[in-house]
Amino acid sequence: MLFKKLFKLLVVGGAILGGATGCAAKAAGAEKKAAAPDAGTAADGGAASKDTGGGASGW
Amino acid sequence: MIVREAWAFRARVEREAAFRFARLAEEISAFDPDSPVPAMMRKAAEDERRHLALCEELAGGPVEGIAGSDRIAPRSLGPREAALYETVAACCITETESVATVTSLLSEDALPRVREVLHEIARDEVSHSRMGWAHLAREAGELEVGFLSRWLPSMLAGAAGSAFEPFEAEMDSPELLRHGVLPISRKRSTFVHTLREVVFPGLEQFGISTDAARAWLSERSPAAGGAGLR
Repeated sequence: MLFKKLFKLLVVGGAILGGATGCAAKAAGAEKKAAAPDAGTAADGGAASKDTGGGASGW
Repeated sequence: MIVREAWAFRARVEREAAFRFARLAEEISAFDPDSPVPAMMRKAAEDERRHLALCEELAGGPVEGIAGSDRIAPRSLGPREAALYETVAACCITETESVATVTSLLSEDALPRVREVLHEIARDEVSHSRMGWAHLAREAGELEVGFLSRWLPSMLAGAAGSAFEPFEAEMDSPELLRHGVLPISRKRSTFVHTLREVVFPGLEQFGISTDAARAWLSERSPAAGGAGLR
């Protein structure tokens, strides 16, 4: 129950704060979006394993 | 000792977040000037500096340094994708986890001053998580955000820290709750449930596959247990 409330409070509430543009466009499927430059592929092509991301430390 | 170390670590987390949010506010406003997110991030940076002082108080004195790395996005990403990566990692994952952690702590019988501090922090953490979902919602209308899928395990590893590693028995003492610290087994279960019931469904709502993230989590928490006593 706590987690359902958190989903509504944070995810749904946050998306509304961001404005409906993203969700509306997504639902309509009307616009072709720009692909991310790397589209999931490391720019150096052969050394993807070195291109690591990290996470934000938390409590 | 564990309690002071925990609050000292949190102080470093808050300083790291203050740096990151101040920087992300400028980066995001450069490509999305109409977004409400940069203003939220500037406010969040101020909040985090205030939280830093509160954490230092409960740690027993000044704390130096940051908990991890200020810049966490892969180098291959362009500036806009890197800002999205960091916002999802810091807000959608880590700040959402923080809200769940603080909420869990507030349901327990903490010492009066600890409770006051937790209340003050909890109020702000909600906004910090929401600004991440707000930014993701905006970017999902402009970019193919599915590229984040492959990076989710890296984000989770950074957010989890040492939570799934073997631990000393004193780290699982219920007495920790009075001092605003979750016993490790409770910390793990809160982390896992928040991912499965809040973060993953939220990401999937924007078309981001969580298959790799769920696999990462299953490897570490077969039954939300992780590694046991050292």
